[in-house]
Amino acid sequence: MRAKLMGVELRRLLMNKKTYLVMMLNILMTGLGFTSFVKGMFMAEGFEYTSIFTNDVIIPFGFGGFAAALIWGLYVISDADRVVKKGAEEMTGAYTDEKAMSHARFSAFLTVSFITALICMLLFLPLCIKRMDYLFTFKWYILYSFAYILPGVWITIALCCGLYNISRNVSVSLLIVLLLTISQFSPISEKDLFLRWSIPCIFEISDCYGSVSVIRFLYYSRIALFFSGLAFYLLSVKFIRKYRMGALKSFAFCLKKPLAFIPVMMSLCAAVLLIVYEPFVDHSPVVPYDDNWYDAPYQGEYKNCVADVRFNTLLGILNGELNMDLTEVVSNELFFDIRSGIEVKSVTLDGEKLDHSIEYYSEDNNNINLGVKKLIVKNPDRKTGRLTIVYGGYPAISNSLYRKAGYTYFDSVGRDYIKLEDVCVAPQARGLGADEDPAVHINVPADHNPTSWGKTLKKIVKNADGSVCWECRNDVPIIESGINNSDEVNSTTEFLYAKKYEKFVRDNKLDESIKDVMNYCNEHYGTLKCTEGAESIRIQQISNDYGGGGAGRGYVYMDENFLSPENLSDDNKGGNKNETFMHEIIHLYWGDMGCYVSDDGLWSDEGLDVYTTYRIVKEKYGELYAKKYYVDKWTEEVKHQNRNFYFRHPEYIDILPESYQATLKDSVGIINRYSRMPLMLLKAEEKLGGEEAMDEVLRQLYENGSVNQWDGSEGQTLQDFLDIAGLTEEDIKIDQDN
Amino acid sequence: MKIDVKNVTMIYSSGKKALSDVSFSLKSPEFVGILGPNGAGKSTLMKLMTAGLKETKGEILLDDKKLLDQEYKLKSRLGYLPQTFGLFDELTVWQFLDYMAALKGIKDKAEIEWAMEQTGLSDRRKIRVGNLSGGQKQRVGIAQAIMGHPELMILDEPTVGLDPEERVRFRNIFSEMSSDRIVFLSTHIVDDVQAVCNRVLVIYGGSILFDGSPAGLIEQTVDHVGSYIRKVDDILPKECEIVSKINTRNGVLTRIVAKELPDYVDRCEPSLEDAYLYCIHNSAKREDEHEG
Repeated sequence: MRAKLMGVELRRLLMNKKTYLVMMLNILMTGLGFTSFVKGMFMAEGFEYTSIFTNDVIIPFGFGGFAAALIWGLYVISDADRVVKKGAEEMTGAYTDEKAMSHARFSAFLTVSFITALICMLLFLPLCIKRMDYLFTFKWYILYSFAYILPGVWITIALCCGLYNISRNVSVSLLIVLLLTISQFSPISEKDLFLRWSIPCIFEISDCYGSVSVIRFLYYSRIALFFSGLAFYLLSVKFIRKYRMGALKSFAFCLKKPLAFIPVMMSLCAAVLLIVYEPFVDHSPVVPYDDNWYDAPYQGEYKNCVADVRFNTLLGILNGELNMDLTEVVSNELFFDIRSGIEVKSVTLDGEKLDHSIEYYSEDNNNINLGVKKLIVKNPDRKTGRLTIVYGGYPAISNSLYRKAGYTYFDSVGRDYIKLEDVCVAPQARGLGADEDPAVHINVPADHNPTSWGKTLKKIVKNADGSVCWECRNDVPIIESGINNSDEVNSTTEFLYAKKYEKFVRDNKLDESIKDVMNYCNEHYGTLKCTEGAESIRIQQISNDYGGGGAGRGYVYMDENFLSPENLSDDNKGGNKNETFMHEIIHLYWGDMGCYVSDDGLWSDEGLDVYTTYRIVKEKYGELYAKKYYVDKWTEEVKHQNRNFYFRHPEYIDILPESYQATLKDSVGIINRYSRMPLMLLKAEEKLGGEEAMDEVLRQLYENGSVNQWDGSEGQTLQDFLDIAGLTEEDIKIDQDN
Repeated sequence: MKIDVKNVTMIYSSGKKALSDVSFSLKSPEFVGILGPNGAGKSTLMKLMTAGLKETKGEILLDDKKLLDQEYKLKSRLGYLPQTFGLFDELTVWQFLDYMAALKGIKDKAEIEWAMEQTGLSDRRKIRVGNLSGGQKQRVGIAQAIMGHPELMILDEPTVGLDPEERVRFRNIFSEMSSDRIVFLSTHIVDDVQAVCNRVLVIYGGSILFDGSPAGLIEQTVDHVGSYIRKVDDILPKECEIVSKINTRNGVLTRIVAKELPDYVDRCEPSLEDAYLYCIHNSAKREDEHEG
């Protein structure tokens, strides 16, 4: 009967022009999310989203979902009120039960909003495919767009239906909905992203791998909140006026049938259980800093430490077994760090069970929860032998990190990508010493290519279940494993990147570009400092779940965005995608050198990169090509800048509105970095008497640079360059009157 | 189908007593008209019979079982036209009736066509309800009530807003339909009851004053209806109630009802309207005496 009624109400809604208006608004608002205006609003929150997926899927659908929630909420309340106020309820109520009618209307709204969400997803699919190009993955598009556009609307519909059922008053219902919506921007909701019911947090999503932990968190939180909304709605139905009685009397009348409250209780229990036992965030209380733990006293020695870790990539769970031979024990207790959410199932010594406890943890006296707990293994007899720790669970994130909206610090166990911090891979011994690094055996899907801080892991065996076991021997076994391609650029250089980029890399011959850059830079400036002493070099694209870039011995890694279509289409960095990519690879050298970056942009590694790209291109494609796509372009940009009134008279900038000031300053910085500085270097080249002399100066500059960018030195400055070249700033200055 | 209203008293939460110890039975087939002045409790009684209200005292039985325990059974057999109702203005006549048919569980679209035909709405099927006149909306209301040939039809002032010709047509439709079901009709128009109802209930002040055939009601009024030519300065005795006044060449021909007619009044053959007014008049007088 209820299903039939739902069909009836659905038909009524679909016969109403207002429904189509609401659907249109829903779609239009999502479309508005693609505009730079809306993106600017999200950027204004203080986090700059760089992934294309976030910019072209998450923000539009997040904005669309938020706006749609308000629009649908308003429609739900006005429709319910119209039925009551116009007296149609008098007639319909004679043939149907009011509660059944409410359920039918509620279900009909859920269905129509679901249809609208599907239309949105289909309508914007071609646009997203076009924008994301080779980074587009249908699976992630469906999962994320759905998570952002629909559940918030459903939760709002449940809330609005519930509020109207109880209050029978449009103003009261709307006021409460608006207050609850605004409350999502309150400090409380900022601290607990779970509470953002109609506007989920916008996360930076990996274009390569889809940030599976985020999608789990999103769906989990949406489902939990929907159950909360559903429980509220089902409870509100008990307040529907029966026999013209008031809300409370109608509710009291319903109490005569306690069994009718079972669905309410079930939804409420589901919501409470989901919220209380959510596995994503460690909500442990902050405890005082424990000096004894942080600088744990010596507890003994061990050897043959091996952790075997297996994954359930569907649920995001890991299970492991850590084995070590305790050769010397001088303490009654052994300390380990362990990721929150990972439970210790058993601890045994030579098969004999040892007591253990898990306690809260705080580091650095910052009074923050780090998502790490203390595992204390009791060994009162100080016995030696084979210690086995069996553990497993869903790795939880520190609530202090989770509070930073936008970032994706989650550890990740997914089919396409696995990212685990050291304490997550296996319990980390605190006061125990060993002669060799512990080994970690990770069993990942066969198409994964795991690394640990740039180190290639050793493939051990293919398991019967199809997974492959790799051995990692590293003192900090941070694991990153994804479906990657590994290209041998030359005998000593490997380029590791996400499989998604395979066609792009082949089409644009990016391996060749790396070779070109490395040949040129090695020849002209010297070998890459960070790889000194290493047998081989690995250039690795990493997920932006980590973000940024860095280097280790024989290993340089860059955020996935350096290969993104948007970045490689930035014509500031080169004439085409291939050259832009070369620009990024050149960063390995000038970034490696440790380059001071001036605020005005007139000295930075970007300028050195652009100049070097120009030199490589000139060597490769000839002078005419290089002049047309580089020198002429720089000259034109600088001329354009020189014509700008505010550039020539910066004293007037201060009277402009702040937003204009920021835009102007940004544009000046960009032109200085990508056009004026290369022109200055070109002028220096002329003054020095040619390219060879310039190369010598740059080689010297590179040699003087520090390998360690974090050693406190400010890096190589413009003055350092001028000193080597024997020039003055005036010599290389580009005239503003050009 | 059988409905038993047993000693029903209805007091609203505001304290207003709408019905007082009302009892009667309805058994199919039957066409029952309920007459009473505004505020007498007609609509309250109808809402109780459609499970829209819960009685304060007494009980209503549907086929010997409590009505409120078998709401679903009642609703599936009911055709109800409330006194005031709203329609979904954005729907066309056909869409609205289709919607109501679905609510009533009617699958056969021919029922919608039949109801539209009976109510003269066939040529307005594509017109939006919001664009209909008051009388046309009333017809839509009637159409949804008769659709599906329900076993119990409760019609609260169904002919309000209809022109005389339509009124007659509809009362004939209701009369035809009452041959195998219960039709419970509330109206102010005594002619309608006289023309088609085989039973009449007179309600006043929340109590049933009369329950019987129209002829029975008329029978009670024999020797209590008269007429006379009234002069300008004639004073009407307090115990008399004027039924009608017609201006004639000789003065105003005045028709009155009274328990005891004055000597100067000529006895007349009573009509149902006379009988209804006499019934109400007597009850009001009794109340006055009781209060006095």
